[in-house]
Amino acid sequence: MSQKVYRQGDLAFIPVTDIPKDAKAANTRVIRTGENGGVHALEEKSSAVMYEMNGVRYILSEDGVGIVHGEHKKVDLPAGKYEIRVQRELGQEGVRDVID
Amino acid sequence: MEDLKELVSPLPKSEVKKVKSLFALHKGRVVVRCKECDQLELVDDRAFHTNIGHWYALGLHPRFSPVAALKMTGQTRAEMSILTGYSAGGNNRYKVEEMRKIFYSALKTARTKEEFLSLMHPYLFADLVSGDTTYRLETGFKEKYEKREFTPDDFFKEDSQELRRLILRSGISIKDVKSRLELIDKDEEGELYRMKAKGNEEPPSPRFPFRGDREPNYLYVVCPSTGQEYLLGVPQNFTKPKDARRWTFGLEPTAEFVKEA
Repeated sequence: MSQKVYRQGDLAFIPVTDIPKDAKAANTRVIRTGENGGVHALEEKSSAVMYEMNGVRYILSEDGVGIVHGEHKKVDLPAGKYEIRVQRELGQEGVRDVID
Repeated sequence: MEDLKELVSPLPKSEVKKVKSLFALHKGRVVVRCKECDQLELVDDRAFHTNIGHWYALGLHPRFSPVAALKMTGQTRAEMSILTGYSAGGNNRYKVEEMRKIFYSALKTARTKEEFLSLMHPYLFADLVSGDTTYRLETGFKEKYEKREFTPDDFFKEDSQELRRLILRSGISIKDVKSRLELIDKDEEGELYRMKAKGNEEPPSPRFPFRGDREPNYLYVVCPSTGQEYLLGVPQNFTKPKDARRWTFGLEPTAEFVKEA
């Protein structure tokens, strides 16, 4: 079965079976802030929780959660567990996260 | 700061007694050998390690404070760290060794702080206002933006997608940029390009001491919700835009985007 992926701008939300046991609650709704202030965040009214381990963030949502951003349209994630992945590109020095 | 440490110690044995006495009298200072004056000099420890020590590292007697000169132009502490070759900045953006070379070259050439600032001018950070956003970036970039002097090469020399968008707002279009590229393939998800060979001409090198020297292929995609166009660097082994796009998120080749914005 193919991976089903949700995307908002430079972030992909990939459904996962489990969030790593050692991941810690991130205690924030902000997922990523761009160099010039564009913010991807969990919708305020949601009860979803973000976790983090080794620089990778995860979302646990029992009721589904909207991902909001000032420029991009909202993306609704169904209830579940997700790994958040930042888009990367090949620069002249090697692979790096997209600087946006 | 290995170069500065070498200047401070070891000192000639004959000078040790004198130096110990000087240290006793002048706490918080260091004794440095000035190669230009061929003498030992007593210098404030902090100033030596954060500011005028650069002169001694170059074998010169301090002519002015480079930090004070940079401060006069409104450079922040973090920016001064980049400009003096100590820090690679956010996203590890700048080449520390290259920036240090530029900084030292300006110090060696300049007789006054005005001359020094003139030599450092293209690299000094300045505010650029575009629409509702204020960007903090190098003066050389800002001046090209204001004079609308960007070329497609400038686009490829720029690392940041945000700054690439600024370049596209200042006189060149994505069509101009794509004219430098050769289409490999296109599908419903985007277009895959490689840089056009231009005989013996060198590929564009970074405008600022950025890291790296390899030219990737490029994936052209359009954001479905903002309409913003992107050219993302991807490895040269891809032949299909769809595969290259999945690589940008580290996804399996069969991954399916069920919702995008």
